[in-house]
Amino acid sequence: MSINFNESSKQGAEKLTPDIKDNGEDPLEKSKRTGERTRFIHKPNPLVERSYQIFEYDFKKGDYEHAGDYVLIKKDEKSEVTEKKLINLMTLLNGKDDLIDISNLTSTRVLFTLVPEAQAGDQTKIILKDYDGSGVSKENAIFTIRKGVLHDKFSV
Amino acid sequence: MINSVFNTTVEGPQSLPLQDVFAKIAGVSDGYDNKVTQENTYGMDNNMA
Repeated sequence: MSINFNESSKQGAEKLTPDIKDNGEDPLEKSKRTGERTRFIHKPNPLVERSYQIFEYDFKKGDYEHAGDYVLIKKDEKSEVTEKKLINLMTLLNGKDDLIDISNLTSTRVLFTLVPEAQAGDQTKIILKDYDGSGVSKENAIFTIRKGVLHDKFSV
Repeated sequence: MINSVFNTTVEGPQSLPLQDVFAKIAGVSDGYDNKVTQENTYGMDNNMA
């Protein structure tokens, strides 16, 4: 019998999430069942509507640990758009580059602001905004991740 | 018995420049130019004329 244990990891997050949607299996449970580990995974926050929890695999503990959150502010955004943004974000955090183009699903430009370290505490906090060409940009979502996963390349 | 260490794969760099990450997110999510083209309402070129 031949089993490729690393197949799911090679596929990346963009493949992981559709599997979740297809069979409804919790990503944490799936990782335990299959023994396959992707560094970052996300799942809907059961307590906060339209929010997601981000988990990072802790190699020392051998389990996933909560590492951040993605809280959607623009509640009327299509679930498909939000989900694909999350998949793209997980893809990049997992060191991959094969992103899903969702420009045909939006009519806005995505802007982002880094919340100053003094206000963000022990996390890196980024506010994602939509700009539709009229007035000022509107907040779309707040993304937080444990400090160290991302860094400000312009900070001295 | 499967060795749980053997089939563990953790990928990804230690730290990524956040500007690069979100520039890529923005790049694949930007439908604004479509709107400019379709509606010809917004856009800096109109304002500059």
